[in-house]
Order: sequence, then C-alpha cells, then structure tokens
Amino acid sequence: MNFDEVQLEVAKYLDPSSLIVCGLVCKDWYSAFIPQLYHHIEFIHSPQSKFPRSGTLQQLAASLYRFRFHIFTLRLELLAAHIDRLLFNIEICSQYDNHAALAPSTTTATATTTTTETFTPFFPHLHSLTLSIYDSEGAELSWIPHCPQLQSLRLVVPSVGKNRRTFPQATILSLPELFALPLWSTTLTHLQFSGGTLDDELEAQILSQCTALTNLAICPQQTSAKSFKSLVAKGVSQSLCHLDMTERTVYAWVLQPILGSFMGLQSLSLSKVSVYGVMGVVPWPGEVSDVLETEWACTRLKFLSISHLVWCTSPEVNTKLLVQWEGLKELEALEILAMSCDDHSTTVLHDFPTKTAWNLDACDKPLPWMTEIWPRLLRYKSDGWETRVLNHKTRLYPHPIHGQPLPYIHHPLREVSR
Amino acid sequence: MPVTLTSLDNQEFKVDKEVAERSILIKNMIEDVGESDAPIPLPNVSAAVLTKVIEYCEHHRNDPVQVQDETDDPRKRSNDIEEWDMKFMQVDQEMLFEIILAANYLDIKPLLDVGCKTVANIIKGKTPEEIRKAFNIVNDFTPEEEAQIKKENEWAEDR
Repeated sequence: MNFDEVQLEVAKYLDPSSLIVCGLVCKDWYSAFIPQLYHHIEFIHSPQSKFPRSGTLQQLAASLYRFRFHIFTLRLELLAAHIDRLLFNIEICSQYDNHAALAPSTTTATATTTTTETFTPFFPHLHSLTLSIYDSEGAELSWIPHCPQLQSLRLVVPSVGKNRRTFPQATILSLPELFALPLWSTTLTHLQFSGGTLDDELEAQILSQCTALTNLAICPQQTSAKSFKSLVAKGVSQSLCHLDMTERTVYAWVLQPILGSFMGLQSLSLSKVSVYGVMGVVPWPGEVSDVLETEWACTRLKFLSISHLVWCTSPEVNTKLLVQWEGLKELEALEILAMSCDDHSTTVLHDFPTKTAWNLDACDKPLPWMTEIWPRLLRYKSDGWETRVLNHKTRLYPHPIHGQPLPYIHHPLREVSR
Repeated sequence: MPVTLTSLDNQEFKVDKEVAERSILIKNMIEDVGESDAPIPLPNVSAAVLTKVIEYCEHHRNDPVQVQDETDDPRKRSNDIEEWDMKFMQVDQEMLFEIILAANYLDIKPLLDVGCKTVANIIKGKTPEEIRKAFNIVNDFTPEEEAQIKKENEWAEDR
C-alpha cells in the first residue's frame, strides 16, 4: 500500500500515540509518520503534568536534535532549569555529532575543519519559537537555538505566582548573545518580550536589526525613547502593523514617535496613558503639545486599546486632540479597561494625581468633561461602532500575557471585524 | 449544462457542470478551455472510482465552498464525519485508497478529508501488528529497532 501521496493528510488526524504506533508498523511508515510528531512541539508546565520524567530530557534532546529538520514550531513553557537542561543537552548532541564527523578515520578532508568551537546548533526550519519561563527567579539560559528562518519569537517570564515581586529583576532576557547573530533579523515578523527586563541599549539594537517586524509586544521597563527613535530611523515604522505596549507606562515622548511615524499601524495597545492638560502647569507640557501638534501618521489604525486612561485635560488640549482624532478614519474599535479622571480637570491640575481617581465602571453619571469631549471621541457610536468600556474580564481580546491563546495567531483585528 | 468526463478505461460519464465543478481540477479545466462539448479526459481515474466520486459530488452539490480553517491546532479531529459520508466510505480498502487518490488528483478537498479521516479512524486504537494485518504489511523492523523507536519517542506519550 503506497502512502506517499496521502500520508501527510492522514497524519493530520492522528494523535501523537497513534503516530508512534504507525511508526512501528514498517520502515516506510516510520519515515512517513514519525517526522510528523516533530512538526509542532509543545511542552507546557503544569502541576499535573508528568513531564519531565527522569531521563526524559536527555532522550528528548537527542530526538529533537535528530529530527531538527522537521521542527516548525517549538513551544517550551517550563521551569527555567528544565528549558536550560533541554537546550544544553541538544547542544551536547550537536557537538558530539560534530566531533564524530571530524574524526580522522571517517574522512580524509580533516584539514579544512578547524573551527569546531564556533559550530552553532540550530533548527533550520523552525519558524516559531516560544520560551516561556515558568519560574522567574532570574535564571539565565545558557544558549538559545539559532534559527535562520525564525518568523516568530516569544520570550515570556510570566508575572504570576509566588515570585511575582521578584520578576522585574529576572535577567532572562538580558542575553546580548541572543541577538549577537542577526540571523533572523530579516525573517522575524513577530516579536514578543514579556515579563522580564531588557537593557535599553539591547532593545534599541534588537529593534533596529529586525527590519521585517509586523507585530511587536514588549516588556515592562522604563520606556526608552531611544528604542523608538531607532525603530523610526530603520524603517520598521513602515512595516509594523501591531504594537502591544500593555506592559508599559507610556509617556508622551514615546507616544509621539509612534503616532507620528508608524504609518502602517493597525492596532495599538497601551497600558496607562495619561492625557494631562494645561500647558505650562503639568510636568510635561512640551511633550504633550508635541503629541498633539505632530500630525498623526497612523491613519490606518483600526484598533486602539488603553488599559488605563488618565484624563486630565483642558479645553485647549481637548480641541487639539479632537483635530488629530478626526484623522483616524479607519478606527473600528476603542477599548478602555479603566479610566480615572479629575472632575475639576479643566480648572485645577496642580495637585493631580493625588486627587481621588475615578473608575468609569463605578460611575454612571457623566462628568462635566465627558459631556464635552467624550461623545466626539466615540463619534461612530450611532453607526454601530464598537465602543465599550471594559474590565479585565470582558476584554475584546485576550491579554497577551494572562490570556490564552496568545494574540499572534488570533489577532484582535480578526475578532473585531467579525 | 452537462459535462462529459472520460475515465481511464474510456467510459463516458455525463454529469451536471455544477457537480463536476466540485472538482477544482475540472473547474479550472472548464474555465481554461471555455464552452466546449469535448469530453474531459481523466486518465488517472477508473470508471468504478469515478462512479463513486460522482456519487459523492452529486450528494454534496449544494454544499457551501469550504473555507480554510485557520485554527492554530495543527491536529484535526477525525470523529466528525457526517452519517451519509460514513456510509459512502464503507467500501473495501482498495477502493477507499483509490477514492482518496482520485480526490487528491481531482482536487476535491472535502472528499479527500473524509477519506483521510476514515483511514485515520481505521488506524486509531490499533496496535502496530493489527495495522499490519489490516493493511497487509510485512514488518521489516528488528526487535532492537522497535525498542529504539519506542524509546526515542517516549516523550510524546508522556505529555
């Protein structure tokens, strides 16, 4: 029976155990079915999970190395020590392989091979790599596989669990060598850093190297204007479609290059955005006016999400904001999770933010400033435009870190446009 | 308007254009050639298989065009076969594979899917020995090789 033409199709309907059983049938079936096991690999830590059993990691590493040409997606959500050991074992396999190939008895052409130390193991066809570190004590991985075709890279240190308080110190993402090789810089379209910290310089370097990025989600830290300046300078501002900064507090000086340069931006997710107000009174008057007076280039924006909007404006700011807002003609959804404001915001700003903050969920009577500007910000409402004030349970799309599935496959725009 | 299809063994089949166009291959051929009474030769499909394929296409003539589902789960379910399709697939094994190969050649995605699901369901739950019996295959592994395969893929069952 010849499976050649239909084996791939049949294998799609088989679970891992059935694939293994098929692989045991005969040699033809082995080469047809076993590589299918390795196309999409996922290990996710859970208290119930038996993985990894003792000895499993070495065996798994050997198998992953052996079938590395067949691996397309690799998702490891494990304890740092387990990920590290797994990767370390794969490296051992490759070095062993390399040395074996170099043994004088196997070939006469040994003279040309002197650079064994620089041999770098990699997954040649991997296009999606997720490393999610379950414990966030700051363990560093000894190496990250080099994948010349990588399109999607996610490095996540979840900010949950008993180590919550310590996670900002995690150095998991401070891996200069990770980006020392610009192997994937032209293929990488999706990049997510979450939970850990990233050195400013390194971030700027990464962002300036990855010139094909369309989706970017970055980790919490003091926002660096340098990073975004470098994005703009290198032309990523033209290619970037989806930007997620929900883990950062965004100040005007970061918002300005985003709004002013990212022409292709279709979705933008921000955490806390403060729109302060009266020129010359608040600490950042110059930057606020920059944002409002630089013409917004992101006119293709369809989805805007703000986790926490602090609204504290003056009539002057409102007027300028509305002019810019009118330019966002393609906007389909505006998502605001929480909102605080000052009901005297048009007159008294000196003591903000010590004034009592408001949460829109709890406030059913519109505040004075709302009646003035809010209906115009939600201008499509009467045409069925989706305008909702949401909370964390009723988001339009799952949170990139806390929600499942992660947003790169199911993008908010698809959900929204339905 | 009916279309004439000619099988491998030169038998002619007259079917509605709508039915024939369930096959993307035939649909493209008709579009390329334009209005024509000339029979469409299908040199890879025997009359017996073509009869079955046409029966399938007749039954599914009004189905909406299948959209590619973009679920992130690469594993698909095989337990969602319609009752009619299940009955339709109750044929001997040789015919089953002939139908799958024809569906692949004629580019009839839903039929290919149903065929592959049926094969997957035959395989599922069987031991390697049972599968060998079912598909008349001779085992060419040594016991050592079998043990090695089990060991190298143990992780997949651990999850």
